[in-house]
Amino acid sequence: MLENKNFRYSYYTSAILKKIRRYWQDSNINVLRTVVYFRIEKDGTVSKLKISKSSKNDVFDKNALRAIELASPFPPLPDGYTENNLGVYFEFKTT
Amino acid sequence: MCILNLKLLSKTILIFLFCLISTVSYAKKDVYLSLSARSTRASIGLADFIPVNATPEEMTLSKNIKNVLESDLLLSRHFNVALADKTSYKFDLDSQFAYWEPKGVAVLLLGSISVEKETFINLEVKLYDVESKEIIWEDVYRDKITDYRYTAHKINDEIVRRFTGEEGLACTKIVFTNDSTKFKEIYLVDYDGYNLKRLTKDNRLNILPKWIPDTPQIMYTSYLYNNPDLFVIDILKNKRRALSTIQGLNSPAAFSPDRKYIAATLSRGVYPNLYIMDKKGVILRRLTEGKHIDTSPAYSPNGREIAFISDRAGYPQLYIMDTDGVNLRRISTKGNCDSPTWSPQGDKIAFTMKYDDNFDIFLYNIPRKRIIRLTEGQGSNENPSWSQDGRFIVFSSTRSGKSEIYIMGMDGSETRKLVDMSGNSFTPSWSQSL
Repeated sequence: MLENKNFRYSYYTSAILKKIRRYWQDSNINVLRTVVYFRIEKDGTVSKLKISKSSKNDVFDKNALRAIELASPFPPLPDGYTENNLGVYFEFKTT
Repeated sequence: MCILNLKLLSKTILIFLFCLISTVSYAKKDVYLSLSARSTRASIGLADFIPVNATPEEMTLSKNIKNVLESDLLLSRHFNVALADKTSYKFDLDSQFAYWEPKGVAVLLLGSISVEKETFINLEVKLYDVESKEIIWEDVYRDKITDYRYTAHKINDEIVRRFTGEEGLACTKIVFTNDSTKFKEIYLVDYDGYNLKRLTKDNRLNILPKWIPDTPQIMYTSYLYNNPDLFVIDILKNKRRALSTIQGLNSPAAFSPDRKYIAATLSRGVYPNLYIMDKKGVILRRLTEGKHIDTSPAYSPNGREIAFISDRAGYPQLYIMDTDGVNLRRISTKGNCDSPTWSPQGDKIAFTMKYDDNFDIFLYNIPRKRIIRLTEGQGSNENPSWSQDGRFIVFSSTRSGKSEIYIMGMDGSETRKLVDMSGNSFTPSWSQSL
């Protein structure tokens, strides 16, 4: 979920989704859900990375943070986007 | 509202592995492929660049630059490229979107080109997000007409960066040796096989060229003075100099990532062992000792470890140790190994192993502690070197009956020949962006 509801660049959201998927490794068999928050700066670097809603499973939470760390830097934010950064809530879950 | 999530089912993992095996025909035993091998490519629409003055020259350049860019985008393997069904120059934005939207492209590149004083290209490009019709990126490129391939390469690399946050490969080059003059000389070529250039004309042996990290300089071994000496060529200044004329140097040397040190094999006495020198060739310390041969050192990207080949087990095997000489580990257990090289991300080592009749390229995955095979049954495949993004490997292969240079994905897929030329080509080394 993006913090800025006016962010209209679908190419960008699919690019970061794709990049995080590349680094996401967890095979937990329990039903788990964790939400991480991070900010993407204009140049694509990540700041303020934290667990926003814990799965109560340490390993799962750590793997989620690690996936974001490994996937960063993300692509630079689009030129047409005028804000300085983009906040992202990213949900990792098993079902 | 856009919700980003990743669902993980045990079923999806199985399906995913199955997909990999079915799509990658080379690597039969290879289950440990990169996740990037499966990700869908983004679709990019490439409109014809509008020739502002509509001169024949502008029209030709418009087409040529578009062709190079299309090739770059496809070689990057990040994109599918959609082209207009026939050449058309649409000036207004609405008709562009009306044309491209039904083609299902995610982004659209529009541009206009003009030629200035019969010497320079001015190319204005804009990349749009098709769904929102918002601008992703825009820029103006001004280059000499003769450098039009480079203009396209720079645009490609910026598009790649806008999609991945990583540097593209279109402005990289590959250096290698070739024996078509009956001697061995050093050659340079663009990553897409264009602009082949001979760098040495000594009628001697010039071998083992290697890029010095973060520089436009190539280090190689030359027999110009009848002794294997280290030389450096700067390809921008077009100058060369002798780095060291140490006696007894007998294998490829390696610069540390910070360029402060050189690891090399020296036979000072009977047995060739590894030494660390400063960049002027002054020996700082001896790294290995013993009555065996230690050779082919390769620094890890963080500069803390060295991979090398040693025959201390009785036959040449792959080892890793810390740069201070401790923490030695043997990696391979069979075959005859050669030419290790660390991936730029530090998680893999590519190397050559003679397992049955021929040499083949193998990968050691460091976190997983596993060796996988990348080439098989196609001649001898040797001397791997990584692309700066760690997604491709350049190597030499005798699959056509003579030794030539090829590039493959780091999972062994989609191999292409780099360049057609006479003679045999060996020992490629892939530059960073130049």
